[in-house]
Amino acid sequence: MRLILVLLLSLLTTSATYSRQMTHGVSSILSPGESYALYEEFTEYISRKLGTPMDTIHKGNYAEMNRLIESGNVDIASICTGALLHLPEGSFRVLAVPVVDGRAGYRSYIITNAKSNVRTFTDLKGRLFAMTDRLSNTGYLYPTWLVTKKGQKPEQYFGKVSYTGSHDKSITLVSKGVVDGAAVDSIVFNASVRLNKELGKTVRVVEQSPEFVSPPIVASERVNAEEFRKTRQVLLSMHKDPEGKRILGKMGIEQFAVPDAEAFALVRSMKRFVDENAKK
Amino acid sequence: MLLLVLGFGVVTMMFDITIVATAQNRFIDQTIEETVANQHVAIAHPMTEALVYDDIYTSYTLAETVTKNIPFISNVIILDAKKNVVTDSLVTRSLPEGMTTVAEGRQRTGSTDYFTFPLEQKLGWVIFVVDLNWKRETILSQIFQTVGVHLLFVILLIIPGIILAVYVTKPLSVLTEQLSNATLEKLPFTLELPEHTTTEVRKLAETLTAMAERLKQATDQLTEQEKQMAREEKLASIGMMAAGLAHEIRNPLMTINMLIHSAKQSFDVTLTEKDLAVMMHASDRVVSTLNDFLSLTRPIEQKPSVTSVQRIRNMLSGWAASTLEDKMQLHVQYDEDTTLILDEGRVMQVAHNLLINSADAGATECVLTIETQNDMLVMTFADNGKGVHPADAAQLFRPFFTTKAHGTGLGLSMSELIAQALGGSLTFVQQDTRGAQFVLSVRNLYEKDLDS
Repeated sequence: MRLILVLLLSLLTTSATYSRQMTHGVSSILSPGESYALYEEFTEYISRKLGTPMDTIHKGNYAEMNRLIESGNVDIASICTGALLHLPEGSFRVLAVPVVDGRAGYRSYIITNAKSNVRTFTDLKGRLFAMTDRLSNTGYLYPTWLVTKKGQKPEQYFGKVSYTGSHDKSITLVSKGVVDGAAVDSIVFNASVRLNKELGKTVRVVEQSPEFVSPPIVASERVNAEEFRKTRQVLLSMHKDPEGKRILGKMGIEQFAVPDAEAFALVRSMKRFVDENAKK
Repeated sequence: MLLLVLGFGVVTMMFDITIVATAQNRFIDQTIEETVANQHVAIAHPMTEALVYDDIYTSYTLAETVTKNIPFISNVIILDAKKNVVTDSLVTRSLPEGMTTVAEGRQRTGSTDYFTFPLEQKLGWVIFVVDLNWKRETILSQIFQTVGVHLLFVILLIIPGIILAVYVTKPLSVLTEQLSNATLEKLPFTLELPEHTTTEVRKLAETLTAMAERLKQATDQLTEQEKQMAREEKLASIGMMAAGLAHEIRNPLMTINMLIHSAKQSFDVTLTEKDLAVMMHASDRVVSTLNDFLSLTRPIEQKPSVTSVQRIRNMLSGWAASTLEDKMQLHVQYDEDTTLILDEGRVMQVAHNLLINSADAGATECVLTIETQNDMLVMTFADNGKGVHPADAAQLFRPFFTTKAHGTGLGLSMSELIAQALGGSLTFVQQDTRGAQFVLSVRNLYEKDLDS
């Protein structure tokens, strides 16, 4: 009798540990429409591998996603490097970062229309410029840092600044000539151009940033140590699995890796520089 | 016939084109206005939001979607509160050419219409650029379609029209032409029709040919009958003439015969002077009858001379007074005393004959009216005698025809011949009242001389 009770209890605790409903938050690295199906697949893979049900939550901007992470309303989240800088310490832990072209890093590209006469960042002065999200590293921080280095603010430097909310949209706007230039994520840019060769002919990269650590997948406080370990394991070995490899390929990622301690240093210093000069 | 079809087709086509063009024009104008207004309503709110949040992507996409979906909207231009161009679907990034002010309402420049709407609380402006060429092209294509349909109809109608013309109209006109050429002499005729003739027209031709045959038969019959009648009449005339002649000759001869016979009977009765005179008179009569008869066959000589109406009147009045005495009064009337050149002797001959006839018919008065008409002398004799019975009127001028107890019946036939020889005629005019009227007309050679 007591044996059955013990067994039942252990079963319960086991399921409690492993069968809780988890959520994967996705903020718009690629525009939600484009990546919806892809991220569903990704989540479903992780869920299967962990043996625990997992939902996907899409959020239109990084700030909203950060709020979910801070409040512990999401378990794991794919966020932007820049967004991470706005998260309070201790509210998150970095699970892994994607490796692209053999590097666990990515860049910000300043792009312009191939047919226009805007060939350098300086040419963009007084022009229409598109950024993605105020919390974005590649889509906001980097171009702002460039402008701050020249002693100006983006609103002064550029003719007008628009916020598209996604790298995809920024690329589209530049490609159609609606704006003169934009700052976009290199992973997204390269993936888009790979998918659509015609697109590559309409835009050109006029400036590249130094390498930043690629957009991480973080875990919120709700994820316990065991879950954290297991999830990290799944991510790190994803490329060894044929199914996992396939999904990674679609995302334009080779594999996941653990970043080193100083990986975010460059980004942090950029942010510090911008913040200080903004007060002036 | 073909022209009628074509004309009809063209007229209805013009009519239809006008209707189509007018209706389309109005319909399209209305549609454009409504569509633009609806599109604005659809995008106004999201557009306002996009402007407020500097979301150029949404602004652009909204504008582009409208332009892509509506064929006559060629561009949608978004402006901020300060009326600076934010973006437009064609990425021209500027106001349209020729647009100087941005104000709510409708502007037209050439073939473009601009509809400008302010957004909520003038947070921005939207300009819809309507390409009126689209309207023109749409109407034109509608017209072409209409024209096409009409042309198709015309062509479709032309085909039966041609068929009709070939099989009916042409054969009919050929038939009509041949019929108009056919004359009575050419009966019966055969009608030749073109190869492609419908059965109905052929039947018609056959019927007409049959009719022609029957007509020919009838006219042949008629001609035969006429010939027969003429022959009989001729025989009758000859018979009558022979009978008359025989009668005129037999009576005197019988007188002579009788006297000779009685003389032959008793030898002692010799023929007295009186008897001989009677016999002479009888034989004279035979001779003169035969002479008269022969003179009918001889050509009539005429000796024209200068005379006048008055002279003739005087001569006749004198003759009537002495010859007719109290039996009949002659009244002569005339307008002008014209000079005449004709054979007055012959004229007298005819006049005497007519006047004697009138007297013999019991007339007490005869009115003679003498006129000159152009180159003819016309003398009208009207008496108050017993007149001529209608049944006798036809035979009046036939030799040996007479209603008198004693008469050769050669007088009027001779008079008629004389009148004809003098270039005129002698006719009897039936009177409603009592009496007979004869009109003698002869040619007056005097006028003829004047002309030549």
